[in-house]
Amino acid sequence: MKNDIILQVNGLSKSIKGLPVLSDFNMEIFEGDICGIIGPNDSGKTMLLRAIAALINPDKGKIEIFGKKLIPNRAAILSKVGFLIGEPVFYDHLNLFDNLLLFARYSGGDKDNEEINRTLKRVGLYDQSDEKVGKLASGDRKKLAIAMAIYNNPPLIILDEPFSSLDIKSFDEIKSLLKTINRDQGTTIVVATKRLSELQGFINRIVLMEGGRLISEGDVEELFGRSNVGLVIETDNPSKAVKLIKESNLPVDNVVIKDGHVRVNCEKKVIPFINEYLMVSEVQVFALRPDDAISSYYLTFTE
Amino acid sequence: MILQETYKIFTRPYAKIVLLVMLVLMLIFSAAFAFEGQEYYDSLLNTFGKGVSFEGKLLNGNLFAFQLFHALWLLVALMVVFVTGGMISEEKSAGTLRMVLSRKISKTGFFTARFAAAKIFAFIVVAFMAAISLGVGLAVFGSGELLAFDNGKFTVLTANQALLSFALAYVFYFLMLLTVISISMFFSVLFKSSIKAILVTVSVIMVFYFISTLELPLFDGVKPFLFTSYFSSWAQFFTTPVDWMKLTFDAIVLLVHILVFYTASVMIFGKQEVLD
Repeated sequence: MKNDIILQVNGLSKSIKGLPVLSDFNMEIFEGDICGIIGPNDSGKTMLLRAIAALINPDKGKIEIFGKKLIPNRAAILSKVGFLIGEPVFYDHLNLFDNLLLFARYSGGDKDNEEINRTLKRVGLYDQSDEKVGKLASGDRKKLAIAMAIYNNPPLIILDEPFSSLDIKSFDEIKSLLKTINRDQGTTIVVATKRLSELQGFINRIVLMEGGRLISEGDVEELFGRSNVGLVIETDNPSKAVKLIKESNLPVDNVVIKDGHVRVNCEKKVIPFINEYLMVSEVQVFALRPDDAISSYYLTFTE
Repeated sequence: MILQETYKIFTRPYAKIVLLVMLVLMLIFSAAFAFEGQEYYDSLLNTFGKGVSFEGKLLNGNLFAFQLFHALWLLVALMVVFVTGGMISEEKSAGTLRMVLSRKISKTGFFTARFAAAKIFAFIVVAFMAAISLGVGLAVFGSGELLAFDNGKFTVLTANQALLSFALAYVFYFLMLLTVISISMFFSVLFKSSIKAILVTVSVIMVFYFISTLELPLFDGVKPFLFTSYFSSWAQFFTTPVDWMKLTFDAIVLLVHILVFYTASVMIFGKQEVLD
């Protein structure tokens, strides 16, 4: 049984200078999820997060968080959400502690030295708490931004590209920290990234977007749990290729010609055998590619 | 929140630079006053003939503070713009506004806190100016009657009258600085670049002030509508009798400007999207 919906986006549209950046976008995230919002550059991920943080005014649609409309409950809602949107920027002339304190106060919190130190410890920056933020390496800046997002244990954390510019060790540490927060506190975590591979074994729910539109959303198991992938084969002789594949003993389904190319459903591991079989049979294979975005993501995700 | 924003102002170098420049200007003026003052004021008194009677030492702390105020008031106001002109635009261009406004604090709350911090900064500037000019002036040059002259008119005030006049003049000057701040923050909301916001504010003040001070009938109809026409009204506290009606009107005009620019800034800022 599904948990309660913690974040719901309905029919969200936004244009900037006449160009649509979000088009009738819908999304649901449930309490306790670790959800990945995946899309290439300019797919609208950051704009979606800006809308969720009430930094932009959508042209259409609505956003509900914790069962309440974002507008007019912005302040009450945002006090319970930890955000990292876009490149992390700070007051570089202040030290790490003071930056965290400032942002804690912007979040409506009181000065709590203990909590600030504890949060800095959690992201491994406690020893640098007196250093000026301007001197931090980009990976440490990202960690500080994550510290700001997790400060005071908000029930919902939304992070935009949290793993970029982290080295492998820090990447594993932050991922593990977020997992622990999710497991121990039931915190819902939303991570937007263009690199699906970063989220392997981390997320349980996925939202795929491209060109400001939703391609698909669902549980990772539902979406990627299937064994088959749709494959398009570009050859010099599609009819011969279809005949050969059908006559072969290869485990494939739905072998058809569509738009001048061969289309089959098969397991990922079968793809090299199809390629080899066609080549041995003197059918030239120009390209093998996934036949839709989800298959494309699937291939990336299951690398 | 206001204290936090004030802290942010004073951790930036600009605020310290403004106070340092003020101190340097005051030191230069002190040296000139100490070495050349007597000769200058004697010749000035001679040009006005024997009609001025004066008891005690002419060159005293009150005259020092009065002349310093005259020399610095506009410069200091323009220097304040260097700090307050970037209060919103700098947050926009640096991207910190995105980080701040994705928190609980509202745009109105953030702007108001910054505006209040700018007010505190202005208060500190006026207090600093008063402390140095009056404090140091009285300590070094001693007290005495104030020979105040403005626009070719002499007024002699007793030491006690002078102190009261200074207090009221500083209050009015604070009001004038708040007007400057509200204008600079308005442009800071409009522009993403701090330099642009500062330059536009300084340009507007300079052009308006230039027109306000021109003794040409051509601009007489415009002058009442320029806020700069009320900027130097603080000097009227050193005249006798004080024209309270005019000063009250001038103060109300400045207050209305502060309110209008603050409201316009809040409304425009509230509608702006954070896309940086």
